[in-house]
Amino acid sequence: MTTHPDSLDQPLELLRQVNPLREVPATAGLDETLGEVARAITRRPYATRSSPRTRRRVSRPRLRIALAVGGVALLLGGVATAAVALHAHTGVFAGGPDVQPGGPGENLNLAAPDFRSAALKLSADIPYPSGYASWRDFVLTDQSPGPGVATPNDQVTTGALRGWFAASALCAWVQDWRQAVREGNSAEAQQAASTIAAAPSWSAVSAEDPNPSPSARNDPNAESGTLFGWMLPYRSAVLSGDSARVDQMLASGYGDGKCWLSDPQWMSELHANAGLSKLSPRDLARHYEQFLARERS
Amino acid sequence: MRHSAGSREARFARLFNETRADLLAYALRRARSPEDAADVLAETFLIAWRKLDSLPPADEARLWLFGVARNLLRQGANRERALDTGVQRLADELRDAVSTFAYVPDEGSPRLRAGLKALPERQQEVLLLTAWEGLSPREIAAVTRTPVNLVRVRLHRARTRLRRELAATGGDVPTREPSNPRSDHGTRRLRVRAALDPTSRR
Repeated sequence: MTTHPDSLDQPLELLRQVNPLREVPATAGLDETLGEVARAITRRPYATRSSPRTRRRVSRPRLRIALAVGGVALLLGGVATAAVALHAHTGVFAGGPDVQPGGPGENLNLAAPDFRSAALKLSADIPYPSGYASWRDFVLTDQSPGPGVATPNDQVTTGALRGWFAASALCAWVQDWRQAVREGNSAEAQQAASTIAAAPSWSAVSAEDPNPSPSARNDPNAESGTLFGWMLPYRSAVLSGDSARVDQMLASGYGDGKCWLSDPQWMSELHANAGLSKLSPRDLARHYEQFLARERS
Repeated sequence: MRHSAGSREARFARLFNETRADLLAYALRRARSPEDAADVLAETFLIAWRKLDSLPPADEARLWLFGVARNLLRQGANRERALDTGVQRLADELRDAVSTFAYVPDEGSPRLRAGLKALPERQQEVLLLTAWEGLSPREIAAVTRTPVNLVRVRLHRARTRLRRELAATGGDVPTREPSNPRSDHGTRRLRVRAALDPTSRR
């Protein structure tokens, strides 16, 4: 294993050098005072209801909205204490300048208890090959902050959400094609190729990127190409039966590493082995090739 | 889980002792004054005391505390002051200790600071949480309540952009873009509404 000589660690190293405080000085006075603070804290009541200091001040407009919502809930539910549940569907749709960066469609609450089921329902038309159910599941595991972590401010549009699944599904089909070719399963390879051929025109893709191109740019954050432009070289390689090219693209993480990030097993391997992040691109690609050979061949 | 009063205090004391140095260093690096840092520390642990029964276990609790402190620091001057007892004395102790801070004389640091300031706030934050707090992307994700992929993307962009900024101001930092594919994880991943993440519009 070698460390990439042009590592981006350099700016971090420079920052480390100007850290204004390497460590908190250990003095008896500071230690004693910290102890005092801790003791003062534990003398405080810990029933949060009785601690008005932590209660958020509610602005008048917010209060009015809360009262209105509470009133409606009371009317509808007929209960004395109406709790306003958080739902995945917000009824708020992206428009104007929000569409390009955030994707089209309705804003969804990631923190809502029904987010997962809503997301799976919204993406049900995006096909995955047989045996890749865990990939669909991984989209949500990987992308969502998770229950108890997401806040009501964490939202995603339905358009962007479907885009996540579309990218993951395309990568799953590429893997499926690759494996079918290696196993000589021409029927499966043909089905995978047909699905990959159609992928750039899936509604989940065209809604965000009507004219995908690997070279043009409409996404300022992507390395190159439009949002789904990276799909086209995969498609070309598959349709021409160029499995070596497919392997090369997979190994190099072509397309901002999307196929790496879609693969739950590979991501698990990366997370489990911190040393991999220090590898040069070439060594990491070699490691990925070994992973593919071990896991899928 | 409910704790008896005694075990509750013991658990809090353990948490406080294990994490106070990291939290205090974080607060001191970011706060505007020793008074502010002392208050952030006290308020953070006061919130932890109140929510002790629902805190995550072990190292996750430390990250949770970082998250609370971060939120308090972000509230800045609008924050309510929480605890008077001992805080002023702690601030006094910290002010005395400030003179012993290990500032590193570095001729390049003004350029570095200028380069850092040119970055969007969230990119600055992931860089500093990495470089100064020593947090991993997974830990930063927990602290900032941001999906880990977004943290990785943001960190990569921040490092790339800072390097460019430094190069543009006459530094000897290499300007060649790395071709490491793992470093950018694709922007459609976690396109959590950009309205909530103004930096992603850049």
